[in-house]
This record gives sequence, structure tokens and C-alpha cells, in this order.
Amino acid sequence: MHQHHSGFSQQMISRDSARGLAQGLGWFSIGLGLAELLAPRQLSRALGMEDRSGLIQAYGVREIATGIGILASRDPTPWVWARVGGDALDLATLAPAVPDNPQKGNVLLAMMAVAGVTALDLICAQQLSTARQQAHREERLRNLPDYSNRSGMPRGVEQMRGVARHDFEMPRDMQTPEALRPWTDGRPAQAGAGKATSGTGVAASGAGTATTNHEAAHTASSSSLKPQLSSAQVVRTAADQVAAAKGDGGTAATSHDAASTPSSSSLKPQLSSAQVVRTAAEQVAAAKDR
Amino acid sequence: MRALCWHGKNDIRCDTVPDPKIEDPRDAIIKVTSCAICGSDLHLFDGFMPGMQSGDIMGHEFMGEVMEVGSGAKDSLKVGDRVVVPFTITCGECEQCRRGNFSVCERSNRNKDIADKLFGHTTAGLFGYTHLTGGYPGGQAEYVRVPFADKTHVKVPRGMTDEQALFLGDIFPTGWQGVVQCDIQPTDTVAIWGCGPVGQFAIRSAVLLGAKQIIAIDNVPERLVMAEAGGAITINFDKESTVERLNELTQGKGPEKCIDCVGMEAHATATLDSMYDRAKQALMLESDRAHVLREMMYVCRPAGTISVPGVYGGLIDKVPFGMVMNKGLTIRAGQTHVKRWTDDLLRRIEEGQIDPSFVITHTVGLEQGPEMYKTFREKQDGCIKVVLKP
Repeated sequence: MHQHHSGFSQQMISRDSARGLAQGLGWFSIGLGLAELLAPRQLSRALGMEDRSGLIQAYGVREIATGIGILASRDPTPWVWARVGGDALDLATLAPAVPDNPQKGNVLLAMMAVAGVTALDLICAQQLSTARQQAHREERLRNLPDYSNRSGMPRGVEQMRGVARHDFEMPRDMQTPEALRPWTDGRPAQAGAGKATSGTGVAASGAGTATTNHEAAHTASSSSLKPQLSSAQVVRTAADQVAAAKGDGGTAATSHDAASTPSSSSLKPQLSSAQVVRTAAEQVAAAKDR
Repeated sequence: MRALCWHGKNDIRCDTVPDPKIEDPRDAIIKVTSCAICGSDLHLFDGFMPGMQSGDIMGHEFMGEVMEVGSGAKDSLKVGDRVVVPFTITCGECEQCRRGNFSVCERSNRNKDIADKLFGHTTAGLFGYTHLTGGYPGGQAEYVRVPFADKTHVKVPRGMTDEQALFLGDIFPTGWQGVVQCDIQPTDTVAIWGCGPVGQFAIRSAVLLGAKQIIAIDNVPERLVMAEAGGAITINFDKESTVERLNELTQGKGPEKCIDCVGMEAHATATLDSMYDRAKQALMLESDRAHVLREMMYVCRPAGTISVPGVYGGLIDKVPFGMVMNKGLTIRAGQTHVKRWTDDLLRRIEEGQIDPSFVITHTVGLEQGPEMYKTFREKQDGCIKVVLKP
């Protein structure tokens, strides 16, 4: 909050200083305009542009009009931007007059002066525009309707979170294609962990663990759709599952799930499928004995 | 009858036009009781969609009472039925309809030849949405002719209000499909660009479908407040960097699912690419502003999904497709297959899981429609959704 107030006051200062600068530019505009309107010949002679006194007078009218606009309007922003446009016009008029001009020095001096004023005009216009946007935002915020009670969920958002997961049948054509699913997504590791604790593991029945683990190894090595796991990964995963099962009171997971679990390590030596089966079966049996 | 008619850019009028008549045995005439101004109507109002003709009747989100039924629709509808009309007109018989891809019905666009040339193959006919999609008079009117009415309707149960049912015709199923086609998982962070009406429904849909974290992005304060009320964390892109904040909220990994509920008129102004888009659009070298798409491609987590329910009409420029390819992103887009979702969503409304009327901020008569187009576009007076009562 403190920062907010600090930023706000900075913006206020900026807005006030921009308005002050705009007032100054307004008076400057009227002064320059009067000079251009009343003494066009002297000015055109000094710039070596004798044939342009009519144009200088017209520019004078423009300067006076923008000056009055800045001083008289409640919001000087568009008038200051008009000054920026006028500056560009002045520079575009002066630049072609530089070559082959006996008063070249004066023209260059005038261009530098215009460039300086242009910079001031730009700064002022930008600050005023920012302040205007800020004021507009503040106005909106003051009149902001309160939609904080419009959840659209009469029983509350948290009550509704995920309710459609129970009864919405995801259309097949909008499911992530099988080949693009992360390997662990909903199947291998998570499903395996779930089964390990649910007591449906084959080891819990006390029979057929070797067969199950054989299936595991077979599934992992033969499936062409799933990313291939190294045998070492399979063994390690099976061992992890056994350890988990032991911690859970001996309900070892089906190794079908375990076999598909990815592992970050791929540096272990490759084992044959037969070795995998044997090793995994031994692990399960050992866990059961314990 | 009175109807809101398009007469050019920024020029919509409430005109008196001839009443519609049955033209085909499968037609029905509906007396409109409620209709709405959709965000995609603004693309027509702003003159960004080609194919409109002066005098075209606007509106594709409407409902009402059946007044007259053609002989071929009598088995499905009877006079007096209350119906919501999906904005995509569907024959129900072509190969695409049989597959449930109703928004690309092969038979309902009577200007199929033009659409074939423009898009390669036709899409479904739409109400009040250019002659590229059939030039069918829309529903911001007292009466409307519904072609293929035996299939293009959703019956409204007794006791359900217009305000609860109306949005089944477009924005509710559109937000829903935008989320469904992301295949939301319980571990997902979903980022939703745009908190207009479709964005608001996408947020609620993501809640119902159980996303872990929902992040909504906009710069209109009252829309962000409504998004928060619906369960989203919000990012005001005028005040903070969308990309930095999204990465912060996802431990630097980016959201898995990104949904574009903005479409062709992205309003970001402080970025180089959006300035470039505006300049190209002004010179007619580009039809759509693609800032949101670019941002999604940049920030989406590798192997993530980008869903685009927001409307795009033609050409976009400087699309970083290298990001899409190298990050392995999936892109899903499309007009809404409204009828695929309406039974399920109607049940959710009846069960009180959601009350779609939350999004209505303005209800006025049809004659105030032209004024409300401006209010809606300028986001004045807290306007998020306008309902018109003809």
C-alpha cells in the first residue's frame, strides 16, 4: 500500500509539472506566433528564405491557435500533441533551406532551437497522455461495479472443483493422443502406486509372482507404442515396487505397472529379459519371505 | 418486425424489416424472447470480417418460442416449445454431423462455394455471421427463421429462465469446448487469455473439469474481479508481465494448457508485436492480430496444449511456429460443436452446478441494441454481457 501511495503521489507531481510545462509552452507558442505573424519579412530575411514570408505568417497563425488551445482548454493534451506536429512541419520547412543558403548558420541555429522545443513538447505531451490515461483508469475504478459475488456457482467454487471429472465422458477425439501422452500420465507409475496400496497386487495372494513379473518384463520390452525401457530400468523399478510393497505390508504391486515406470537413470548395464524376470521374481519372493 | 441490421463499420441500426417465412420443410419460425450481443459480433461491428452486406440482420445467440414449424420438423418441434438455438446450423445427417463435428456441417452453409474457396472446405452455416457462412438472418430480431430446425435446437425445460438457458447457444459451450479440448488433468495449470464472456465460462469450465490452477489474463478491472470470483488467479497485463507472472506461478515451467479466448482483436498495446500488428492491419496487410497466440506459444510448457476458441478470420503474421515445433505443442481450434455439449451442460445447470446468468451485466430492449454495441465494445459501464429483449 505504501508503494501504491508513493507511486500515486509521484504521478500527481508528474501531472502537475506537465500541466505547468504545457502552460509555458502555450505562452511560448503565442509569443513565437505573434513574431511570425507581425514580422515575417525580418524573419524570412534572417533565415535566407525571402520568398517564404507568407508561409511564416501562416505558421504564426498556427502557433497562436495552438497556444490559445493549450491555455484555454481544460485538457491541453491534444493541443500539445498538435505542437509536436507543428514542430515536425517547421523542421521539414527549414531543412531544405540549409544548402546554398547565405544565412546557413542562422537556419542551423533555428533548427537546433526547434529540435530543443520539440523535445520539450514531446516530454510534455507524453506526460499529459499518461496522466490522462491514469485519470481515466481512476475514474473507472471509482465507478467499478462489484462483481466479486458473481462466481456463477451457487454452491461455491471449491464445492464444484472437479465435479465434472466424475461424470463427464471425455470425447475420444479431444483426448490427448496416446502417442503424445507423457508416459507417466495416469498409467505406469501413478497407477502402479495406487495398486500397491490397494492390496490387489498379485504377491498378496501368495502365488504367481514370477509369472506376473514375467508379464511385466514382457510388456515393457515388447510394446511398440510405449517408449522402450531398458532392462535395467525395469529391474530397478520392480525393486522399488517391492520395497514399496514391503513397506505396505507385503502387497506387492503387479509388475505390469511397475515395468512401465520411467527412471531417470540409464547408465546401468543392459540385462536380458530372462535376467530381468529372474531378478524381479527373486526380489518379490525375498520380500514375501521377509 | 424490428431487427438489428448491419449497415457498415460502426453502423448497426434497429430497422423494420419483413417477417421471416418458412422456406423449407425443415424450417421453423421462432419468436425471440431473449438474445445477446456476442464478442464475435464486435468483429463485424468493427469491420474486420469480410462478407457482410448492408441490411444483414445481426445475432447468433438467441432463444425463444416456436411459432411455426415446417412439415419436415414436426416430429421434433411443436408450436409453443421453448428452445435455445445453437449458433452453428446443423443438418444432423452429413458425415461431419454424424461424427459430432457439428461446426463443420457439410450441408448447412448455403454459400458453400465461397467457403470452399476461402477455407479450402466449407464450414457450417451460422446465423447472422457474414455471407461466407450462409448469410442467414440472425437472431437480434423479433422473429427468426431456423433452417434444419429439427436438429438445430435445444429444448428448454420448464422452470429454467431465459437468462439461465440463453448462453447454451454459444458462449457456455464455447468456453466448455475450449477447456475440454485441452484434455484437462488434475495436475494442470490452465492459463486463459481474455476475461470476456467466453473467458468467464472457460474459467468455470476449468473449475468443473478439475484443473489444479486457473490463471486468467486481461486488463479490464471488473472482468478480472469476475474472473477471481470464478476461482481464477488473475494477471492484469497493464500492470505486470504476463510471461513473467505465468512462469512465477508455475515454478518457471509455464502452464500446461493455454486457452485463447480473445481472438483476432487482441488489445495489447505496449508490445512491439502488437504495434506491428496494428500497423499491418491498418494497411490491410494482415486481417487478425496474433499477439495472444504468440504469447501462448512462448510461455506454454513444452509438450503442452494450446486451445483456440477465440475467433480468427483470415491471415496472421509472424507466428513463431518454430516454438510450436520444437516444444512439441499441440494446437486445437475450431468453432463450437454446440449440440455435442448442450445435453450435458443443460443437466449441469439444472443440477445447480453452474448458473450462467452470472455473466449478464446489462439487459435492455432491442431498440437500445445499437447503443449497447458501443458500450460493450468500449467496455463502458462495467459491461461484460448484454442481453436484449425484443
